[in-house]
Amino acid sequence: MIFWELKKMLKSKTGLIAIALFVFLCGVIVFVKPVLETENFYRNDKYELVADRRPGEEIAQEKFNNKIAEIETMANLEGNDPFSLKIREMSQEKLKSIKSKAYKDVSFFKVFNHRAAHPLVSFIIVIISVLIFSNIYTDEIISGMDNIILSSKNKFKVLYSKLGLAIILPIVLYGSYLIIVFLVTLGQHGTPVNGGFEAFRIVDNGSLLNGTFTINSYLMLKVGVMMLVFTTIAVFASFFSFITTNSLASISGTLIFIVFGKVCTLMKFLPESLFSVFSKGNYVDIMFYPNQFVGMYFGQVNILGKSLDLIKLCNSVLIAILFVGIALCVLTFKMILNK
Amino acid sequence: MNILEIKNLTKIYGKKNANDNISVSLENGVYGLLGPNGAGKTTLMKQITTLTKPTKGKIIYNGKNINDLGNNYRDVLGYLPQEFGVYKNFSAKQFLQYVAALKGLSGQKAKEKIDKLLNLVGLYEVRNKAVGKFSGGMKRRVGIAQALLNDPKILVLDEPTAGLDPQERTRFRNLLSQISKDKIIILSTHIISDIESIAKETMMLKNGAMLMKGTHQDILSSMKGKVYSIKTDQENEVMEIQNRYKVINIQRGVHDVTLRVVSEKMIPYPNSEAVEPSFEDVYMFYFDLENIQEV
Ligand SMILES: Nc1ncnc2c1ncn2[C@@H]1O[C@H](COP(=O)(O)OP(=O)(O)OP(=O)(O)O)[C@@H](O)[C@H]1O
Ligand SMILES: [Mg+2]
Repeated sequence: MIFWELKKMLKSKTGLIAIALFVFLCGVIVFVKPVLETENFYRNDKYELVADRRPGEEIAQEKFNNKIAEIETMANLEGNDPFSLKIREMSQEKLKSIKSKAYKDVSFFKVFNHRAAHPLVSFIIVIISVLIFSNIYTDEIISGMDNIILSSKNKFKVLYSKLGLAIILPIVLYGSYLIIVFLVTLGQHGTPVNGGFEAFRIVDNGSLLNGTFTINSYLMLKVGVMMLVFTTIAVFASFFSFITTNSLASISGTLIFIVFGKVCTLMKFLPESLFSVFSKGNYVDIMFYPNQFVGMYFGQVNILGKSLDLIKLCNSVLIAILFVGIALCVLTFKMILNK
Repeated sequence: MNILEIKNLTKIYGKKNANDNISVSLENGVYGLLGPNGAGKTTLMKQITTLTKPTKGKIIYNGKNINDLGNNYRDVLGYLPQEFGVYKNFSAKQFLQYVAALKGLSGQKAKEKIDKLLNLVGLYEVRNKAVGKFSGGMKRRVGIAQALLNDPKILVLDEPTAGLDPQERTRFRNLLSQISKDKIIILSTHIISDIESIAKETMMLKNGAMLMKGTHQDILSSMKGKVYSIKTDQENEVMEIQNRYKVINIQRGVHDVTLRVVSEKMIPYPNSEAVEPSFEDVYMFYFDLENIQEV
């Protein structure tokens, strides 16, 4: 039945819009590029942007030295509160794990990392997911096919195919995007080398990385987090599609779900721990500032007398939300669409 | 065995009894479901097709509750909903292929069945055209075809002839008669002649309750001797008759007026005579507009 679901998608307007958006995204991303480690720009006294004219290697080595210096400062942080302790420990570990104090060519990864979770990408993939999955069942109602599906032998297969697609399609879509970006970046910045070195070489606020990530493991985590976000949004979009009868209601529901966490950060009266979770782990901020989230350390929160790592807690919550979404869909199949 | 038993079926929406304690047992053959708008025909069909569960009562298929049969029951079901839609960008053939997949048919068997049905409903020539471009009647024919794909044992058709031209309607009636010997076919309609010509038995629904169920003979004989035709040329008499009796039809001629009325007693007008009741009389008698509760 998955085949038929795809076919329906491809034959609908939404499907065509989704493809157009994806092509647009891949076209634009070719021109998106971060400041490389081997480049440096600064403003002079007349506030003009000037490029550092020194050789790239030299600039890169200087930047790298600065990063190490920053980590060294943090490794010698004063204070005995849990936060300082943790920062000190993290930084010392990082210093210990440094394989070489020389700059290594990481241009490919620097650019790939930038493109892999660029806000534009998240934005477009989320739009595509919302468009497709907010309509995945309401479209059946609108076209008058819901009654035929629900009175057929394979009704549950149809419903589970829809849910399955909500889980798989964002991953496939994002995966295809990453493959395209990989190839484009390969053409523009050479082969992916030195992926086994420390992640903070390509991350701007790398001193806050929680642990001794290599570039490869950091990228993997990042891709994982983004996939989790996209899939969760698609699953909830489908859920709203299953419980509403028109696409306006279901799109509204999905949008409220996406911005809910962000909106909660406006409610200053929330308990502090909850507030921290919302302000770090909301979908909007993860989409627009993934570098402020993935693999970072931003202190502890106290929940039920236990001190927990905020970002790790957020990650667990995000995973839990995905499972809640899947459970809600299954429950809807069993209860509401089988009333 | 192919027996569908409906037992004390009640469906309540809010405060409204859309179906009110319906009990009936159905065997192979065509059953006509007759009733005015809002009588509860679609509601009854939605319960038979497992789209919604009864508030009270149950539906038993060959001795087992259809709820427990689940997909095994849906496997023998064919359904044409009243509000039947299609995927506009699919061709008729693709659409039927999709429904075949829904019903768990595949491969050569499905292909042959689809071609056969396309021929049967007269759409073979246009099978590759987008269904969205079909006329209303053509779409309905696609709907009839999809309901028949799995050779259903129970075929539920909610106003299948709405929008069909007379030629297609005849073709449809013949089709139903052909396939009805090993199926329970339930068909709702407002078109009395459909039921007259094909239904083995007719069930009349009114305000959610089953008013009567029987063959044409049964139903018509219940009206025998109660239908009169009165001829008059006095306008004030026409008024009087309308006030005193249930008038089914008023036919104005050049010089006089003929009224068709239903009455339990003899009619004391000189120019009146008892006439053979028709199905239309029955319908008008029971579903007199004034008696229909607002929905
Ligand atoms: N989903 C629903 N929610 C609330 N009320 C409903 C619902 N479906 C039907 N009803 C009510 O139940 C009653 C019976 O409706 P139903 O559709 O079964 O009538 P029907 O005999 O099929 O009429 P028609 O000839 O117009 O198709 C109506 O009063 C209708 O308003
Ligand atoms: Mg109806």
